[in-house]
Amino acid sequence: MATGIAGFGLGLRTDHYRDFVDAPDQPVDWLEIISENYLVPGGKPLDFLDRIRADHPMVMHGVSLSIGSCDALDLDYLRALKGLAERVEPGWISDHLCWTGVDHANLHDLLPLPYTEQAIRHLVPRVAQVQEVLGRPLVLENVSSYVSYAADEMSEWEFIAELVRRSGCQLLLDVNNVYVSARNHGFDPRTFIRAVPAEAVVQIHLAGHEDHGDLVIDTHDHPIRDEVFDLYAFTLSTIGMRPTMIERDDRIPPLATLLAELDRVRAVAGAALADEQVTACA
Amino acid sequence: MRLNELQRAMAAAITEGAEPPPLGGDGRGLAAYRHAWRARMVEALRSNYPVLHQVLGDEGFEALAGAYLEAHPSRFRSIRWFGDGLEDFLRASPDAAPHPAVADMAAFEWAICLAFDGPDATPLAPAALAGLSPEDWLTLRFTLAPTCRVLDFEWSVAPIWREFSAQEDPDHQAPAPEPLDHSVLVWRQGLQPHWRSLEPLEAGLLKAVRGGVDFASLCALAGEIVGEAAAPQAVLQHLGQWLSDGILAGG
Repeated sequence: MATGIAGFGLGLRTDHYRDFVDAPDQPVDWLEIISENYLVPGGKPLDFLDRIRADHPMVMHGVSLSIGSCDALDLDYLRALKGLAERVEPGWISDHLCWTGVDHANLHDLLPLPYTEQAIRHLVPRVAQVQEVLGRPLVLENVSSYVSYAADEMSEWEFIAELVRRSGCQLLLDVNNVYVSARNHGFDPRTFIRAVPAEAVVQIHLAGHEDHGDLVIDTHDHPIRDEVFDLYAFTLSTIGMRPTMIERDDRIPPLATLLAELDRVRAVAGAALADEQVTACA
Repeated sequence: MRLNELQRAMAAAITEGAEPPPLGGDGRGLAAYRHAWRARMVEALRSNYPVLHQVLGDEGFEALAGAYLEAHPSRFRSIRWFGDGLEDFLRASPDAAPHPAVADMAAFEWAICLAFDGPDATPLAPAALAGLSPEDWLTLRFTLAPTCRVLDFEWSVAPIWREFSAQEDPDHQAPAPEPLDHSVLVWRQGLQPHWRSLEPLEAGLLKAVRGGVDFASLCALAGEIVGEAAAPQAVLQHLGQWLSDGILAGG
């Protein structure tokens, strides 16, 4: 299915509304919106959304699906999401492979699931239900994690690959999250990248993090670090080019700063893909 | 361990400091979730109540946020709505804030917050009233814009708010609240939330409009304050202001 999403994008943030409205030709190929920011009755968010959408293809990214929670899926939320999708006509709709709360109390965090057969069996019918309501494949993102569970029966990448195989979901590969989790749990991030089902990956996130030595925290409030750029280059040389964006959620810099960082992403991608061609021809 | 038991234990470990489910490794990352949860919820409340935060200061606001969070864990899908019960919480637990005026402040900020992204509406155009016969006027009913709210306060909220919005010093000390019975109108015109203080007559008229009464009844209401002869003129004067402020919704 043609999505109109290719190349390099940014997360749309309120700080940059004016920049996009005043200069519709900003050098980004597409924008990602946080779905929940526009699940409101009216006013400024939806007004700016419509005006910016007129000039930029978009994808929708949610934070509160809670696909892994043991609470029933919130059908009102799903229908609202579908309503927003009718307005935005996004390339795809993503959320996170996580749970955000239980017993109807919401922690508003992206909490890791145990990597167990039981969890996969819990997820598969829920993914099916979401895909049925939305009428399109669900795209799920790997989250950063700071703990693992004693109950784990497999690695995160085996868990994700099995979920993709059984549910038909697609993947948003957050390369920074792979790096953060690899550091926190002591695995080689390249093992994760090699094992991820490449054909299911539709989008890549890049972001910054905080390195506390014995714990790496996914803060999304710093520029992308060199180690993550390296892992991004490895990712592209392994799975090929995918639409890629910078996800900055806090301490939002001026748009020009993010555009400069996006230029670096383009350069890293260009070099990685050129290397891959050289290797392929050799 | 079943998945729901694991999630319950993990949620309690984060929010209440309870024993977590069995974790891999040394479990040192649990503290990061605990810290992030609290910080995120306090920040969500702060972004919905920026002036209350300014008035109470960091420490005072965090204490209030902590007490609120304990009493009202979020049940919302979107964190945008966290804090909807702060006014009621403050009225039910007066000890949670240093002054009873804080509940009035909370009501005011939440109304502004709701006006920001509340439903859009087409304002009633003055032309829609042109050419009505005197008989039509008598039974005419108006609809308030959906973001329009009339709030009644017992403390000097409007003066404090005005003072805070007029200056930019983050360390500015709030003037002590004084008892002051007054009403404030909050609404959105175009994309911008607005507010202004109301005289008792206008507050009464707006509440009557919300109640669905007709123009004749509005005049009767005004007559109780300004006298029967001056009433239609008084109502029309307010009506003109409401039309130019986008307070009335069109069909």
